[in-house]
Amino acid sequence: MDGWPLVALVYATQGLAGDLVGRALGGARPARLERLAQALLLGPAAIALQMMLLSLLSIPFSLPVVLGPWWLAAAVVWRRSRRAAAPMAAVAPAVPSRASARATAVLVSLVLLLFAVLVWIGLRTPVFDSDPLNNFAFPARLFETHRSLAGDVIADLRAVGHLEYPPLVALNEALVFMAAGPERLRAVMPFFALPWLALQLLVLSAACRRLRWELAVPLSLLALLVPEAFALGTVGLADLRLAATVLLLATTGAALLRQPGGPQAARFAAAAIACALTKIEGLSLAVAAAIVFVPALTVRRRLSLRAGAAAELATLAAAALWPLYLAAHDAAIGSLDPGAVRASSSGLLERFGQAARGFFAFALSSPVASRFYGPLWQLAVLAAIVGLARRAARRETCALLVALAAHVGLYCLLLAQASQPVEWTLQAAGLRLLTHTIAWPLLLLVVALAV
Amino acid sequence: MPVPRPDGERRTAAPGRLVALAAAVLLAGVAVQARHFVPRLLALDRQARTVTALLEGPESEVDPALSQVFAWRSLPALAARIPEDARVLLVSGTFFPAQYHFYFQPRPFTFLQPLEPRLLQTAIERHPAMAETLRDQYARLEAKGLRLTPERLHAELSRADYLVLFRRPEPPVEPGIALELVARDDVAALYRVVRG
Repeated sequence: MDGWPLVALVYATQGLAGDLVGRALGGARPARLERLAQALLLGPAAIALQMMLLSLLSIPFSLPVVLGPWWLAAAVVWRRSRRAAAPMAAVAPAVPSRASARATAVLVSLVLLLFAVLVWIGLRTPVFDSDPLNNFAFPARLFETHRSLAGDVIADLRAVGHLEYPPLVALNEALVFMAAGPERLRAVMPFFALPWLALQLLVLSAACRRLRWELAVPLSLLALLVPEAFALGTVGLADLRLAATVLLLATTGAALLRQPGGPQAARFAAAAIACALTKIEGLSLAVAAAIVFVPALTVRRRLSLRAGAAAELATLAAAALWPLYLAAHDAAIGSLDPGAVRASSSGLLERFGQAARGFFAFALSSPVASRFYGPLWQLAVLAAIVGLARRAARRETCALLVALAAHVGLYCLLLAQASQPVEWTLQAAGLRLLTHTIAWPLLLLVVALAV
Repeated sequence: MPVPRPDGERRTAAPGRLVALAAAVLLAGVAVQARHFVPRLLALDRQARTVTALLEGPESEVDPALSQVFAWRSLPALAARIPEDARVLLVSGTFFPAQYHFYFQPRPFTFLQPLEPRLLQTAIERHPAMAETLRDQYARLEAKGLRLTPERLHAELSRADYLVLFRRPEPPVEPGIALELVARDDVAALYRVVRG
């Protein structure tokens, strides 16, 4: 395919944009693996926001217009960093033992090997049907060919598909489409494998930073071999990207709890914005994080009012951008159909309880969940018990359990409002919910063993 | 002894026996995980071969229900022959829908397809695993006014510049409208609509 160099440039720019955003957020720079994962997740979010702003300013999308500013900014940053006497503040790296360094190197090699396998499989299974085509590639094609967010076109279309889904994936797909030409539906597949890489790097980074290598290795392998996460890396959906971004949100949230401050709040807000632009579930999570978690820190005076307000407003503004755009074009269609939501709130509490019980029963005892997630959730229960029993890990374990309960609770609230029976919805959405919440069992394991 | 970390975290030297126990539990988990992972990896590889065969192999081996596969194989080449400002109508001869819009953007595009309860029932009987999807798509297409009827065909054809017949052998006959064949393959045919 002639367009491969350009496609590679698009992927490189996504990573570059993420790195630049990470630098712009300031504060102590995360460790290398975490920084790479952050770049892979925040870069596409930054590019999506950039393309939304370009469209609002009536500047047509094109590769030079979208990619150029990032490379110019990179050149400026590179010149400045060469001139600057003092390097950026960075976390002082712990001196790893030789065994630990060797274990990390082996794990990173294994991650890269499996990532290569994932890309190889993905390139042989291009997007050609169902939700990946209808809900993501199709809006991407609209953005590509109309060179804008195409609100008027979306409003007038009589097509099958959820064109109202948050646009991060579709906008970045559109960019790959512009570069790839006729091979677009194949060239876009690595974009869906990258969140798997980001997820693994985040787990690896947390495990190697906090655990002895004897525990970090099996824990990382456990995450590496989650069948469903791996399989989702070959499918053109947004669920795995949301799962990885929720993990980033969780780790930045933990950092914000440990060291409340402007840069940490900005990193948390950036992760929340990435969630909001990825999926509707991510949008609800980001809004909840912005209106509950950040204000709670501010009220308890752990975070300055200014830093808290800036993080909160930035998250809410970015999260509202796409729904407002759709509303302005009268294009809110598909899954936001009010007919799908129960008119009365009767029995809401009962349905909520039913959904919550159903979710945990599905996670812990369903043969389907075992086949797709292995013993991850069962081990997480064990980890929670160990974490609560150990004084050193109790506080963090409690925080993680509260976060898990809030995340699942939010989903159950949405499920309880749907018109379909809760059992049916859980059966249809159970695996997806387990994917979105994968951050919590993994972090529970890290915290319980970090002693 | 606790070792202070720059980011406030702590790592303590845990008793070796507990670490060994925790590592053993995790390794058992990894073994179980691997038992699920390896078959899934092989299944993904098989799936990739199947998809490659569907998209690039002999057409006669493709399940007639897989309209998306036929669309992938046929429509890009036909779309390339249509000017970007031309209005396109696609008339499908199959009950199984595809994402036709994708292939004809940015042209003004619409499609019509047969939607009969009888066809829905037959399709569900032949493909019970797709029952829910088929019912859902049927309802959506019906709600969007995409059912193929003589009146709608006439109205849409009188506006269209090009007509694509997808898995439908015979072109429609409408008074005052002539169809000039532009291109065709085994799946679809492209006509220029000439009025008057």
